Amino acid sequence: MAAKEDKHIIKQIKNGDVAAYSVLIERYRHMVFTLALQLLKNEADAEEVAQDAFLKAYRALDKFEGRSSFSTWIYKITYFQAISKLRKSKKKEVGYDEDFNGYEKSQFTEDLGTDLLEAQDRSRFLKIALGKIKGEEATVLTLFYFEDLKTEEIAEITGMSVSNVKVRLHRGRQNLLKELKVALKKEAASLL
Amino acid sequence: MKKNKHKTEDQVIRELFQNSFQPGQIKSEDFNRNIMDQVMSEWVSQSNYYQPLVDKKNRWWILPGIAVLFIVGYLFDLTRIGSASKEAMLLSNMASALQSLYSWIEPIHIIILGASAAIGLLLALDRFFQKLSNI
Repeated sequence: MAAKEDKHIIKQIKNGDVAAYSVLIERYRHMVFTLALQLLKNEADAEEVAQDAFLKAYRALDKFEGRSSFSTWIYKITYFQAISKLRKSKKKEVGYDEDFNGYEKSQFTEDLGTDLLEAQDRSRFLKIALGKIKGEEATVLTLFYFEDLKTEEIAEITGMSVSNVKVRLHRGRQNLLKELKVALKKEAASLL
Repeated sequence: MKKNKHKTEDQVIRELFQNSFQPGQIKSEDFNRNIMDQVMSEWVSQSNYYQPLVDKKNRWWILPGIAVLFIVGYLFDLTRIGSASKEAMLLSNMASALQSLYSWIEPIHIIILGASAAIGLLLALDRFFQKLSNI
């Protein structure tokens, strides 16, 4: 439904109603910013990349043929814009060498799924953990679980092969759970 | 066993994302305005933002189309004229009638003339707006 609306808006823009572009910006700004932030780990850079991505998308709107949805297209532009920025700034990604011990991993996974944690805490821990794992893994996980995209669509956005996306999904899951556990442990230690 | 574990992890993370994930919020209040300002300035500076209604390919179809319309209309009215006794005179004097502009236009059906004029007007207006947008 949203994809259909997007195509209608794009048609309007192509016909000269440029102001309609603000609807698309409003609709995708947060997700575009989130993807950029996951890769760059810096809010100012992410905002800059998000702005550039929207501008780049506008400039290339005539080339947009509507084979894929606008969301897939803008995420793709954002992804490559962020990767390009990352290469320029040569920032090192945050490592994750914390110990992974304590209570059993399977037990931890079960606890996450239950209501043992408050909704607010779960949201906070998820944000922290996503910030700690590799940007590409965080992006793939977000697109797969939050945006509900297929692995083929994620492959189109990121330029990876489908099997590579699946590998990153698997690694991302493992690393996310690991980081969630570390965050939870730190929180517990600070409370004790 | 391992498959079940992956399935549980997948399910837990899916639920976690669906229930607890919140996209990052852009703090800058001018985010939309900044983009739209640039978009608008680019749009205004574009030399050719008027999209012609009639593209070059269609233009070459229109001219023969008008010619066909004239011929069809002419022939149509000619058959009607031929059946009426009063206009039979006109038919017999076709050679002389064609010599003057008035007698050439008269047998052509008014709808054909109207359609031709409308198409001509459309082409002219299209060209006019295109030129206007490039000033």
